[in-house]
Amino acid sequence: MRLKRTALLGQKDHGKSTLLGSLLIETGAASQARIREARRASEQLGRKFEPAFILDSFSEEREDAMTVDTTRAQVPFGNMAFEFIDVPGHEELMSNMLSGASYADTALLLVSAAPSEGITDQTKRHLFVAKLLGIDRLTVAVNKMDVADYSRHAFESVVDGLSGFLEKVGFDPSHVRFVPISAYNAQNLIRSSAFMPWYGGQPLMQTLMSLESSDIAAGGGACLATVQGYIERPRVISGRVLSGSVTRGEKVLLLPAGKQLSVGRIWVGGTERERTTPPESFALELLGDLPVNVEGSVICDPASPPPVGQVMIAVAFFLNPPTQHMELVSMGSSTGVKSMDFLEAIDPTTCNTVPGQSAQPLQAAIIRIALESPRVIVTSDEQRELARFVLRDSAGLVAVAVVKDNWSAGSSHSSNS
Amino acid sequence: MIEQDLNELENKSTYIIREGKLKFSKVAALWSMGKDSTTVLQLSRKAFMGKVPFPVIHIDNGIDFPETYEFRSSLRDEWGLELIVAKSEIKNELSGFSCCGENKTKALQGVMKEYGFEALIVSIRRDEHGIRAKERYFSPRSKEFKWDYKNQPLELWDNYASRLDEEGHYRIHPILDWNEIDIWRYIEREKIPVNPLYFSESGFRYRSLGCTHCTVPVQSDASNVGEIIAELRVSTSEEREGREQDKEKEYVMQKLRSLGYM
Repeated sequence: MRLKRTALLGQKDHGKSTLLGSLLIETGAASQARIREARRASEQLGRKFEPAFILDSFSEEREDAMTVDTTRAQVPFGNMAFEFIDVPGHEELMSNMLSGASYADTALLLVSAAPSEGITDQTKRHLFVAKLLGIDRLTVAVNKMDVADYSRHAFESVVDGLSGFLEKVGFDPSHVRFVPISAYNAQNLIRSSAFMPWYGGQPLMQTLMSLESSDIAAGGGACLATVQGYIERPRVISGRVLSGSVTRGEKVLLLPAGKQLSVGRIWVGGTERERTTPPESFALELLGDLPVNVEGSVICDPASPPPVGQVMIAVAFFLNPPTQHMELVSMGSSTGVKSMDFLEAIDPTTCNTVPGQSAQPLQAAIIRIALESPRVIVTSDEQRELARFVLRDSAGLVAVAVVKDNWSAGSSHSSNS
Repeated sequence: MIEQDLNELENKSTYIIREGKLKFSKVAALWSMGKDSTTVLQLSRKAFMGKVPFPVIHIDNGIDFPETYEFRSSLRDEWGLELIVAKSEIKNELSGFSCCGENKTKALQGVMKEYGFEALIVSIRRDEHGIRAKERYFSPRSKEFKWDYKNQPLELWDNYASRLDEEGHYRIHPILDWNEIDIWRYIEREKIPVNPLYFSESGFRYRSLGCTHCTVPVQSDASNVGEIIAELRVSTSEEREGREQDKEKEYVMQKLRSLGYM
């Protein structure tokens, strides 16, 4: 059974973990032992039964009532299986949110309809980042409808408040669904709610099932594969196919070295094969004049090679301020960053460009990066996986980014300080 | 229990094992002779042209089952494994926190230091325990083996962290995504040899294997791999029901893991 990986997004306290706990109970996926344990933990902390305890299992998470790190839980539903990735909604834990969301194909955003809650900056930031990471199918669960008297007005004000922003971030309205729910009371999760007769749509799980995820067309396109390194010198390498296929005996180009080579034997899962296709990880023999170091290389069709260069334009979301000594990491291999220019800063809570030639943490920017050595540079429209990268320094992650088309803004100023 | 696509799981796991071997100069795998770590050895053979390309470590407290020791020698010979046995002394009470924690962790620290391993391949799965669902594929541990679970490195896409702090090491978790039933389906498909204690004898079998002192069998008539899979398809109980350390206290597993337990 294929899993549909769905990231739970949204502001802290808008009910992500509670929803996941309720879904596990409602669909029968949580074992009785797990439910008993969550009930006991709730009692020990002097609380009413808290469905989130099915998932949150660090002591700090239960005592402080917030998710610290990502958790995954699998929920079977109908003929499908969902893997929900619960991410922290706390601003300080944004990097953990990114970590979880990077493994998702689709997202479920929670927005509280409770009178004093609603759409927040964090709600919008999560949407901006999700879109940047390549998620383009979205379900918005308008939660805490019980606190909002199950009123149609409360639901519609969230829908109206969010629609403009969603379009600005780049979500296609036909790929977005809104569903009113109460996670705590398990309303409109897998059955229509008697409290919301005004809602004509499907319950949450049925809605999630109906949104087709935008799987990258497997098997199509020109041959592209990444190389991890030599697993048996002098000529057996391992890697993963991103598009097209690699076939025994064919000529390939190894980039950025620019070497014309031919493919010898191929193994997938230890078995010899004529051909390997996405998303397989392979071992294969390369015949010809091989470079000493192949880590981070790309294998492609010599007739349609992707561009190789040392300068790229990208949209980046910053978690930490940039520093002098950064490296770009993509597909498991790193390249030194020579310099970085800010072309334009973006406020992720409005999607507007803002004055300023630097990015503060939790801000975005359009940047131009010069690398210390050449590598394959493709945009997200050409190949989503190769286009995305992270910037890091010795202290850890600085930004996540995606290569975009040339940016035609005016002058740029170096702000690499 | 959700059954996942075995080819997809195999692809991801072999990718992670290769990444671990290529990123670190000295790598070893922990082998308890249980179904999960034996599956990881099979995946490693597939990733590296038929041979496990690193040593395998057994943390031996001397009180594993006789069947386990027999299984250890027979598979070592059959697969040509480079086996390192790290003897663990039992100094205190024979269960749970201090037994699994202190004793085994000390033995492991000793062997890591002696051989200078930078990374350890560990066969944990997310579905085993709520705490294990929080793990990353590549997870750094401090010199004292501590897991800083509040401050884990970011893991985005295939970009696994691999920067070593002085004297720390990495845990590599290639089968984090697998469910218990996927392991058994893979064992069936690949015909992987398993410890006979997993199969029912007089109405009981071990579903999860620790040492003789902290593992108890569960009621079952499943006497071969196919019957175990059939049993799991209808089971509503949890895999580690027979494991002492999970029950003791609410957060024992969290404490054990943050202190370096596997």
